[in-house]
Amino acid sequence: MRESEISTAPIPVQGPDPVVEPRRRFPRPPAAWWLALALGLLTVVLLARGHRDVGYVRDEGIYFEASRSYAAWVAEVAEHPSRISDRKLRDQRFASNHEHPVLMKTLAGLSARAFAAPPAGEPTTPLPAGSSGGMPEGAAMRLPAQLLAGLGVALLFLVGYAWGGLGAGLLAAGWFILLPRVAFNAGLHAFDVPVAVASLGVALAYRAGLRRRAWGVAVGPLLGIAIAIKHNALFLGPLLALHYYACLAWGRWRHGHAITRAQWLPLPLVSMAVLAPLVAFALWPWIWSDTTARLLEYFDFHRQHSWYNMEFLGHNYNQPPMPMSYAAVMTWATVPTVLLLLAALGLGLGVRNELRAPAHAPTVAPRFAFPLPEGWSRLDAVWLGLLGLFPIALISLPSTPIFGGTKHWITAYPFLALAAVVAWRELWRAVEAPPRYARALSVGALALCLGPSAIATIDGHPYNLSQYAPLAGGPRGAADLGLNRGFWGHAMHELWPTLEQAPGPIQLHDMHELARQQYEREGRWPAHLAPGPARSIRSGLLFYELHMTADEINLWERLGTTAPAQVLSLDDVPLTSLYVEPIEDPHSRH
Amino acid sequence: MSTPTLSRRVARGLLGTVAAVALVEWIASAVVYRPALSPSDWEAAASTVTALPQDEPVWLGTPWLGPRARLHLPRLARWDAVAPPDLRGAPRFHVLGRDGDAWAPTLQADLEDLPPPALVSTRALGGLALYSYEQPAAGTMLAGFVESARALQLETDQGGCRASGTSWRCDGGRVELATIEVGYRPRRCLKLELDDGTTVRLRYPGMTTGNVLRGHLGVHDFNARLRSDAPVRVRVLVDGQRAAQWLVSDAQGWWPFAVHTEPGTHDVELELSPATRGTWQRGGYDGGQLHAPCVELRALQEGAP
Repeated sequence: MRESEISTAPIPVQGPDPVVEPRRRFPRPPAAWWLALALGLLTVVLLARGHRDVGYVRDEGIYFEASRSYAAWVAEVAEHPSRISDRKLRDQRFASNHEHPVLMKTLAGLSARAFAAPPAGEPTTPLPAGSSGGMPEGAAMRLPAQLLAGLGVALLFLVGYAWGGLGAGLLAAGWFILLPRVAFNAGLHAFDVPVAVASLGVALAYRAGLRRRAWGVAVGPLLGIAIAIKHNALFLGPLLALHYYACLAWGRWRHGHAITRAQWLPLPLVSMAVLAPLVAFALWPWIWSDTTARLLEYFDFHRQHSWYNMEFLGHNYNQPPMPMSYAAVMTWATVPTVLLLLAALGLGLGVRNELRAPAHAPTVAPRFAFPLPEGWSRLDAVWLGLLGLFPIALISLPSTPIFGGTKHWITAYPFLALAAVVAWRELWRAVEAPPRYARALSVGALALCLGPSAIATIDGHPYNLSQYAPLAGGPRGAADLGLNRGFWGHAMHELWPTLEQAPGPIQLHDMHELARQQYEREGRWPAHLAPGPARSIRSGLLFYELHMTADEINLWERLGTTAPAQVLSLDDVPLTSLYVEPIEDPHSRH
Repeated sequence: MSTPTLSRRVARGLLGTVAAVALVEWIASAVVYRPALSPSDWEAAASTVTALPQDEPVWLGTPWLGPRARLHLPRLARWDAVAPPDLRGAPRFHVLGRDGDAWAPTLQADLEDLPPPALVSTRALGGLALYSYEQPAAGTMLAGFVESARALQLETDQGGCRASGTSWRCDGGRVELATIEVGYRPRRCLKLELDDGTTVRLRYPGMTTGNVLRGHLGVHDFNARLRSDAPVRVRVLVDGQRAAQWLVSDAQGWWPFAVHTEPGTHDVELELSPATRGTWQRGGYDGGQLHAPCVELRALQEGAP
């Protein structure tokens, strides 16, 4: 067919893309691919090693449990394929944590089966006989998310490189992964960085799909995969459709192009509308039965999500509305200002370029499979702006439940990183640095821009959920401002030796019991230290948040002391205290 | 090569701005991403604070340092440091904080209607500093319901309450000396867990009084406050005569009240009537999930006796 011939052949360059001008594109030599691979692998290795020191966050405890169950189903179906249609088995295996899709948890469970060491002591659920690896089970379960983070870094580097050369590629990758909050979340068995990377993949596929049939087809399944990771991806389809019709309108009204019937409902949108739901459905066995009821339950769960407690500027919010400035202020407080400045400049310069771009007549007629051929602007600035600002705007809405964590708009960051690339390219092109100094200047500027993030991440490890940007004053500045200190009961690293000495029973506070059981499975939890009911405890953990004050007071009352045995701090700011019942109360209760 | 969309001058200006912001962030990073307090700072603070007169309270100018201060300094783990009702009764006091944190919003709140205290000295202790203040208007505390809890006599309409140390079991509920959370801060007070409609009377016979009785009432904790708006009726009786009455809601936080008295010895009674005991949970009203008021009352001599 003519369409397929056209779609597989290189499309002739007819006019400049206002933001990414094809004739200015840097070639993408194999070296760039190797470098992308190296950066991706380096990311995975650093996350895999570094996150051995990151405690298990509350949600992970639940995901670990669910992952074992999901992977057991895969193993059973692999062994007895007919059991795929056994509804009772599916419901039994996938009931756990069914408010989230299962892709990452299933991959995590399979990773554990492949790489995890057998559990220590008396396991709650034994690892399968086939387990042959030597990794701690939690580390093995974190691996799929870490691999996706590596893929995200590689993708950002490649796009940045294609748009502006080596420095731009490094800027894009570093902008994203060097952020303390991104580095922290990227190593967890969770869905936030995976869905951010998947969103990037979908958006890039969509952008390519506007001119190439293969990507136009691929974007649907990719969106299905993204939806199977986390519900944030549900917004991608409408956002990309909005972008597409904005491109049509721009082409029509700004450049005078005629809109053809083939452009009304193009392949990328059809693929997203048809293939994405099918793929998402196929990847979530829980909804294979009772589909409508279970989907409604899923949507309701997120639409009417519990209101978390979240401290913001010294106030605890647990009833909506959260101040509309919350997401914007927290973005500033957790992302170095220089990176935000670059992203803002990139969006501004991108818009400026679009406004100044002359019209070019398309020589190829738009088709269903390539609806925006050369000559039609893909409005990259709008594409980046929509995808980079929508997640922050959504969380800012007064009607949005109080989620709290910056991870909830982490999907914005890959696109803000690419916006920064636009600024980087435009500024260096226009500045006309003397050729003999250009490289040194560029390297110096890159180090200047990425340094604050990198320093913050190194400083904050393994507690980067509590790290803040330098202009916010780091952890001390955030504590002064009254910003959240952490919310997942994971900050434990330096407490382990003292915990060995602590008497039981212990109050776990915000550490989830399933996270504690995971430590136990891996032989990390002191054998003598069972959790116990509040009335019988002899020691207790306290993870600091404003609304946890009542819990600390209860610990004082129960243990008869206000003095902790150990305080774990990040740059002086207490994150976790371990309280122990005094043998002879040295200095409390006066 | 197409023409750059920016002029060289503008591009240089923007790039310079980016570099300047980055440079400022590098410098800030060097300052903020390292501990500012060393063990020797805490040792210096411990020896300095230990040498202070015992009747001069020490409070925190950097509230978030609380756990570390309590770990290193026994004096900061005392109830008068951890959960003061306000800043009254302390004509001279000290504030320990990071260098520069001479005062804190928590102290400002506890100042209530007192005039600002006078900073009389500052002692540098490495990354910490000890600030000493004088507050002539603070008055002198003569007696308190919390401080003399064992001397209290409690009763409800059903009869007297049985005391066990600093807790009482009554027909219709219980009362105990406790630390509670009000406004995300600890407060030491007498906590009431009373059945719906029960009134309890807390009597301090022969209380030494000055010219004013000052107290506070608050409701523990943020979860209960979120799930009930039940008010509490508070009455203060002196020698059997009602001196004051208020209806207080939990939205009023750590609510201060005052009653003028004649200096001397008086029978002082607090009569408290919480409207309901429990809270409204997902499944409806739950009397087991407490909405517990907590009260404290002190006799002070303020100004000229």
